[in-house]
Amino acid sequence: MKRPPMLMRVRIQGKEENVNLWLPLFLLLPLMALLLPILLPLILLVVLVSRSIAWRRRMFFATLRPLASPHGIRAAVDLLCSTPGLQVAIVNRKERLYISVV
Amino acid sequence: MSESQKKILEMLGNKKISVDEAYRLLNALKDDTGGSESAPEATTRRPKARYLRVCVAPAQGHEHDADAELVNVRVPLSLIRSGIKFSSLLPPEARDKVSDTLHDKGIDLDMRNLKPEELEEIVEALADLQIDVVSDKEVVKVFIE
Repeated sequence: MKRPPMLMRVRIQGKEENVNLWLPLFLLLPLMALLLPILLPLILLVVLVSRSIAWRRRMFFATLRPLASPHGIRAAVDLLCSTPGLQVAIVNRKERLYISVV
Repeated sequence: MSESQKKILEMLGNKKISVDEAYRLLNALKDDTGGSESAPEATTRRPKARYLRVCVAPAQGHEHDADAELVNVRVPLSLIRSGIKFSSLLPPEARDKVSDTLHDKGIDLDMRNLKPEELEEIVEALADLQIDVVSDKEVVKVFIE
């Protein structure tokens, strides 16, 4: 059975900077899930009143409709729960980047 | 139905053996075939593929170049499956745009042809995937583990 990601580690080692982040996704994801119903009307309002080209607005709503359906939500959750195990490592002369999702 | 099973049923039909004897023979046959089938299965069974790995490393002699880069990406196959299922939810216009952008980058992948029903076949086909690209400056390996 898939489980949601618990932690995300981001490590950037450069000549001048060194970043080592442990993101507690087990805390952030529930928080985002709580905030989304509050933020969504605001996002919709911004999209409606913005001076974007009409087709972008049409695309936004055309994309949002299937994603907001139960099938879409299930697919999004499934996608999120498939991220544990993802690892990216890029090393060059200037810096090193490591991202891993546990 | 195997030949042995047919013979047993014929003998039952010709009343050469009783129902109990036929039942015992068929069960014994099932145990025998089950045992012999599992042996080749055990030898050919391979661990289930779990990750897609992409490794890019500088070619021999270019390790100390200024632009030498090492890339190591591990993507869970379940993420690829979920991504393809998720992409089927995109509206057709968005999928066309994605396909066109990929085509501009030199990747001939048509998002419209990706169907979730064919997903398992794609992932199973990926299990044997191994790509090695060796150029002057770098070596690219794509494989499944």
